[in-house]
Amino acid sequence: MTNTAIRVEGISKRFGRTQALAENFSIEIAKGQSLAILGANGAGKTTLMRAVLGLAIPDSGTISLYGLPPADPGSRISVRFLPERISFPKWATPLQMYRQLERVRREGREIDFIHQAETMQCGDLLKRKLGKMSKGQRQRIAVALMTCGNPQTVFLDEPSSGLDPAGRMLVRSIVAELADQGCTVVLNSHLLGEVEQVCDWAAFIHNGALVAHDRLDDLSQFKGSAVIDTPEPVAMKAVLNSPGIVNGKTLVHPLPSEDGFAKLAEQIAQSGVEFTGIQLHKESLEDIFMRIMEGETDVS
Amino acid sequence: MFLNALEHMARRKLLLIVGILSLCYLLMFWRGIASADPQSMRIDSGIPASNADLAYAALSIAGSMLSVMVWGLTIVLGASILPDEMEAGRMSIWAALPQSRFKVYASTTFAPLVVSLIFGYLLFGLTAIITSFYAPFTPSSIPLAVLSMPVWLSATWAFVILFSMIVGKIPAMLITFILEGFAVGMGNMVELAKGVPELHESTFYTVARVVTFILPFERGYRSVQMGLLPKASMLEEALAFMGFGGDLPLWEIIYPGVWAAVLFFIGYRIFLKKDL
Repeated sequence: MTNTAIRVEGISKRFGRTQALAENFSIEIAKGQSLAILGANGAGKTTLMRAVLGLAIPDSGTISLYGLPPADPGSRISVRFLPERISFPKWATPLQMYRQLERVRREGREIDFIHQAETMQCGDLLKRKLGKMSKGQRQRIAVALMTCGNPQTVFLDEPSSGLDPAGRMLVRSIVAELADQGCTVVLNSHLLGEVEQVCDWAAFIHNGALVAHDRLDDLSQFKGSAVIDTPEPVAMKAVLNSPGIVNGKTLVHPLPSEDGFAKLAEQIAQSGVEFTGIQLHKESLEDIFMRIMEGETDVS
Repeated sequence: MFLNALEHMARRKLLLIVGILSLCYLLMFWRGIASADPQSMRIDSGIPASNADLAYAALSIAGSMLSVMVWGLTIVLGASILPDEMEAGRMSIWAALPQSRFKVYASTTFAPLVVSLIFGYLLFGLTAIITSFYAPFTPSSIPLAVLSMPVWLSATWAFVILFSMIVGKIPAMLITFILEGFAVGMGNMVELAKGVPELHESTFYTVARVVTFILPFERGYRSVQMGLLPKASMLEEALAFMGFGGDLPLWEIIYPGVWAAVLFFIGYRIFLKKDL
């Protein structure tokens, strides 16, 4: 039995004169993977998501979702999609919307939706008309509608759009929980901090082409130093005879390569100076994003 | 999915407005026919009109008004359903659910047709019932009227749905309104020519026949009217000259339905290739 949830092979997509997805775009997403699709505005992230769901028809190539083409409704069983922009009917309440979705999905229980709405702290809005809610409230409801129950795969296009910091935190926890349960998560977000916390994998799209697709850990490059957390950074610097920089309660110690990390750790352990942590200084997702978007595509 | 589309459709304010207008119309019609006296009407050489004549006159006049209302409703609902759902981003939600595009297309587009049919049946049916209270008559063929209603409305519906995907909501409405008016005019010409065989040789008649074939919007309406109008009315012959009543061959009644089905599937092919 294959472990692939989504397979995109050699597709391309053009909207008029705009090449949304470059020729021969291919990507494979394993079951249970939590993948962030990253790229600048107009890079083709949403188009890729929509193509996988059969909403955008590629000009060439093939796509399969759990082994079935997107045209086959069976490919979307237990698959959820939260688009970036959705306008609910003003007359409907969240419960009515849920019932409408369930008429087709037939896979959930209302109690799961109520529970998810409570998790998103919008349980008190379930009987209010969507037309009388703020944008943020509607977005919370939308997240609850599309993530409730036990979906097999979720496609989330900017799920935190319009949400306050508390709402964003709730989205992060829901996505992380789904990923922990083995749900395949495909997340399109410009909030790199959010992505870093909930996704293990990232795919970078630049001008419609896939420029990098790997585990976040593997994409992150070593930045030539180790960061030592210690209440006595000056003492640590002296013991190690380090040319590094003291920054608050940390010492940034230069390392020529990652190979020297084990030896450094041993040295610190034997130094007798108190320390609380030691880690390799690697790129943050923001660093990776900027590097890749500036044209350094060699990481893939 | 069809129930969802119907629910969305039923919540439109437009339906409330049309409902109120329909009610006003029915009340006016009621008052009008209640005050009519067939004995005071004279046909041709001074013979008093019968109940059937009164019913014939009332239904002919009311039919023209009703057809505009029901046609208008079909055009406005049909032209807006797909563009509105797409613009609101709801179409991508429905299409991302485990259902085929055909189901999404058919369910969404059938909802306005069903609403128009309900209005059509209610308006024509109630008009005929009110008429029969004051001028008892025997309709020519109720089954014909009932069966022709979907044929009539589906032609307009399929056309406007297709055009709304090609040119957008407002242009689709305008195009359909204009072409319908044109088709009705040409249809009247064809009916008129039935009583004047000399006209059959004219180019205008040929053009009118071709138009009713290419745009069979009014053939179904004509058969709804034919089914409802009373038998044995002296007015029938008189008004046939003006394009009311008359006989339609069976193929002219069935053909708009086939035409609508073809347009519906062309629309589906376009929808299938559309990015939602």
